[in-house]
Order: sequence, then C-alpha cells, then structure tokens
Amino acid sequence: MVLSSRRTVSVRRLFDACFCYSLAMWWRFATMHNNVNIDFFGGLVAAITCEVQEYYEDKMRLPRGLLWGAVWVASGGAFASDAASLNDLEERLYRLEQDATSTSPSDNWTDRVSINGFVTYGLTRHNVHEKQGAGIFPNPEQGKPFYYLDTLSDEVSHRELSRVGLQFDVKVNDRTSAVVQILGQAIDNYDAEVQWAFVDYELLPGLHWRGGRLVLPTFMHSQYLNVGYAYHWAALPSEVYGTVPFDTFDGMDLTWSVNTGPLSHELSAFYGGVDLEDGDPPVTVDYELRNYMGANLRSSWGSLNSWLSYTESTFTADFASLGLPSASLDKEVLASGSIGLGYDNGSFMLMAERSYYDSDNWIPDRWGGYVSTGYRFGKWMPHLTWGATNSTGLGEVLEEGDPAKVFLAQQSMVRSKSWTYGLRYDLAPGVDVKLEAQTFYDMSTSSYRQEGANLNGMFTSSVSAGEIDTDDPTVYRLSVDAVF
Amino acid sequence: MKALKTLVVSMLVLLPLQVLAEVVVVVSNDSPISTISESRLRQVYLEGAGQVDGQRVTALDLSEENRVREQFYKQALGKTPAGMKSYWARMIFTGRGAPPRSVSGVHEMQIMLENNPDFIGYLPGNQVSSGLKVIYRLP
Repeated sequence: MVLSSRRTVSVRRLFDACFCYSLAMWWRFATMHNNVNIDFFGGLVAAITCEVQEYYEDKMRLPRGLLWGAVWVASGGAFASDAASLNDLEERLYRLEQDATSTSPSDNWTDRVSINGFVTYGLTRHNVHEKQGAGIFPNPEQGKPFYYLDTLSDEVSHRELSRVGLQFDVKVNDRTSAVVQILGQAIDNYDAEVQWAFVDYELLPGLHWRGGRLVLPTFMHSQYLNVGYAYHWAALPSEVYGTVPFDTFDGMDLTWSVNTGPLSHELSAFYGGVDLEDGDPPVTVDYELRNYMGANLRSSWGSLNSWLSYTESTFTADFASLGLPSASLDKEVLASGSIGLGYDNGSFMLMAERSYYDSDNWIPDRWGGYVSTGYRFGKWMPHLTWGATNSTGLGEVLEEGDPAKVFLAQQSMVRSKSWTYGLRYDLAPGVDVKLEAQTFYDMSTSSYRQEGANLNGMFTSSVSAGEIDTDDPTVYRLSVDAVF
Repeated sequence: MKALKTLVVSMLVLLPLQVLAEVVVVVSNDSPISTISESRLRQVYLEGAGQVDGQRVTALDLSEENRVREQFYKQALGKTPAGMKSYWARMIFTGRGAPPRSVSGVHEMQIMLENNPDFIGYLPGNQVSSGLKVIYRLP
C-alpha cells in the first residue's frame, strides 16, 4: 500500500517533469527546426526565434517566453491593438534582428552552422535493344546490351541520375569558414563520398584562399555537376562533361572577386593533385595526377556571362596489371580548358561552351562542345541543345603500331553528335521536374583506322561490339531535382 | 447581358489597381549613400553585399513568398524566383557565397533599415517610412 502510494506520487512528479520538459523541448525543437534552414532564405526568422529562446532561457523565464511566443504567433503582430505593446515588440524584434545580424562569433552553434542540400531522383534508359557482337577481337561483353557511358542500358534505371548531397557551412570567425559537402550517388549504392571539404580564409576583402578537397573547375558547370537544380538539363552534355573521369582534387585555390564598372569577375587559380583507383579488384589501375594546376575567369555583365579556363597536370599510371605494360604512362602532360558564353534575361536563354583535352602518348586528344537555347513560358521551359565531340591527334600512335597502345587508343576514341530536346517545369520553389531525350548520330571513328575503331560513340568503347543498327539511338531521362 | 457589361466595365475600372505598386531601393537616412546605379544594385544583390560609394552595404531580402520580392528581382535583375534559386544553388554548393538575409515582412524591413545604415533593402514605393531614403526607383 505504502509502496503503491509512493509510486503514485513519483509517477505524478514524473508526469509533471515530463510535461515541463516536453514544453521546453517543443520550444527548443521549434527553434532548432528552423535553424536547420529548411527554408533556403529563412535563416533570419530562425535566428530570431532562436534568440528569443536564448533571451528567455538566460532570464529563466521560459513560461513567459512561451506566452510571448504564443501572443506573437497568434496576433501576427498586426492584430496587436495596443500601440505600446506593438512598439515594445518592435523594439524587441529590432534588438533580436540586430543580434542575429551581428557578424561576431557566437557561442551558439546553431547561429554559425547552416545546412543545405540537394537531391535528384531520375529515371533513364536508351532505345538500343540490340546486343553486343563478337567482332574481330574477343568481346567479353558479347550478348550484353550496349552501355551508354559504361553503365546505362535499354532497361529503365533508377540509379544513374539519382543522388543526394548535404552541405555543412560553419562560420569559424569573421574571416574563416569551413565547408563539408557529402555526396551519395545511387549508382554507388549511396556510399557517401566527400566532394568538398575545405577551410576558407578571407585574406583581403574579396580575396579568398581555400584548402582541402575541392571540386575541379575543369569546365563551366563542373563545380556543380551534381546539383541538378542548378542547370536546365537532366544531365549535363556528355560531349563536354563526359570527357574527364574524375571530379575532385586535393589542394587549394585562391579566388579574387572584383567588379570593374558594370562587369563582375571571379578570377581563380588552383593547385593540387588527384589520386584514384580505377577498375574492379584485383585488376585495378592507380592513376596519379600531380602538379594539377590551372586558372579560370568567370565574368558577368547584365544578362551576359562568360567562362574561360585552363588546367594542366602530369599523369602517371601503371598498366602492367592490365597486361599492357608498354602502354604505361609516366608523367605525361595533360592539358584541358574551355571557353563558355551565356545569355539569360529571365525568359530567353542561350548558352555555348567549347572544351578541349590534350595529352601525350596514346591518350587521344578530344574536343567537345554544345550550344543550348531555351525559353521560359512561366514555369515551363522547353530547350534544345546540339552537342558534338571528337577525338584527334592519334596519327603517330596508330602508325607506330604498338598493339597495346593502339588497343587503348582506339577504345578511348570517341566521335559523337547529338540533339537534346528537353522540358523543365518549376514544380515549387526549389523543386523542378525535367524531361529529356538525347538523340545521337555520327558516332563512328572508322575514318582513323578501319579495323578496331570505336563505331558507337559513347554507347560502348569496346572495339568488338559491332556497329549499332538502331536508327536514332536515343537516351531518355526524367528527373526531379530539389534544393533545400 | 447587363451583368456581363457591368463585369467588363468594373474590370476595366479595377484593372489598373491590379498593377503592383512601384518598388524602390532604400537605405537609412544615416547612410552616406544617396544613389546607386542599376549595375551596382545588381552586383550587390548577386553577391549579397558590396561597396556603394566606398560604403560597405549588406543586402536584405523580403521573404520568398512576398510579391514585392518577386517584382524586385524581375525588374532589377531580370530574374524569376526559380532563376534566383538556381543561381544561389550554384553559389552555395560551390562554396562561393550565400544569399542575402531575408526578413519576415515590409515592417521588419523598415525597422532593420532604419536602425542600421549598413543595410540596403527594397520596399513598395508607398511604404517608405520617415527614417529611410530612396536611392533608386525601379523602372
């Protein structure tokens, strides 16, 4: 009996405690939730609510804080008939907004950290239903479908385009910040990889130094390659963006933002290296790129913008594991660059880019380019793109006739042209839906060497697959992108 | 028929009222800035902050749902809300910048601007409070 009554009391106490705690947690959650920056531009409101909370917590007047919060929310400010209390609220609001806008470091981590993210869900397939043939060399993929960019077949894939990224920005102090961006791609089973991880230090106003892992600024859209919402296509033109098989480097960059009259510029230079492993164990190749450096200039003037870039590195790879030791590369110079132009006045959009990729030894030189135009009708934007790419500069290697080099060179040669018909629809702020069909033509490199030439552009590099018979090989894409 | 006529006439009378009020760019009376060029205004809002007449200013935005904001970006920068969102996605996810801070409404915008000469903002032409001065009128 005694035990039971004691239990009643303690249960009641526990209940009271839980009630108070849940009230406090409710308040905390409401403010925390805002601070996670679900709304892209909503940081201020979040900061204000957070400051309200901090203010009252400091004064140990949580109940009154809740009351004020309720009054504030319920009245919406405008219904407060009492002018004095309105002024009081205004003053309070101003003070809180001031606190929120202060750039001095705060002890409250929620003021210093912002989280943003992007996600894409996409469906894609192509229409080449034939199978790969046997050919003059043995083809290990005989009987398999033709794979566009090594992975996509004529079966609908949910994995090619789907990906998610999460970015944490931390303000360390007035001049220093740290950024980490994690990317998970469906094609890699969402194994998280770090795309960006750097510390940013503002040396002078407008002059930023960054060090850590950065995304390569090879071409105009390279640095936001995975942020589908940032461009109008479901996938960036493969004629340019399919040429470099890696996207991050470890090193540093220096960026200077400057305005000259009505023109705005961002001039950036970078230095670092790339290490990557390619292929499936046990047959892997380690690629080493050293002295990876380059510079780029991004300018804008009203509705016009331009891009200019140059990148250089030395490339080392041992192909002994593939049984092709004579094709190994030792400090071969790779150079690439692109020039891009864009016009966008809010309704009419025109964009063009021309890229190149030059290298020594058996790696083919390759250029790529596209021209894209679109027009926005409210939330709808139909667009049209023409793209082309071609490999060149292999005469010497092919004439020399080292079988290993010739084999790799011919596998690496790509010639292709395409038309892309697309439609983008803005579903909601920060969410779009895209539909796209990319039709390829002129994909044979047989003019270089009849035997063993790549005849299928980006559909398969196997020289033994045989030529695609399908009229108008087309890749279809449907994607939903969001940023938050 | 008469009802239709009434409808047409009343629409003709009411239509001009549908046109949104003029949007103006404002700073505090305490700010030394007296005017801003169209291109500099554009730069300040694309970078979130900038120099105007040697004075460092930080841009403020109205909330995303606000019609005045939509009108401001359309007229001053030629950008749609989705276009701006796309632009800031490019900036944020390459670590190159963050969008201007947004305030909850016209009233909050007035308070913020009145009390800090380092801020620049925009308001409907008929909402310029006494502590503020107009430095640019959108066409």
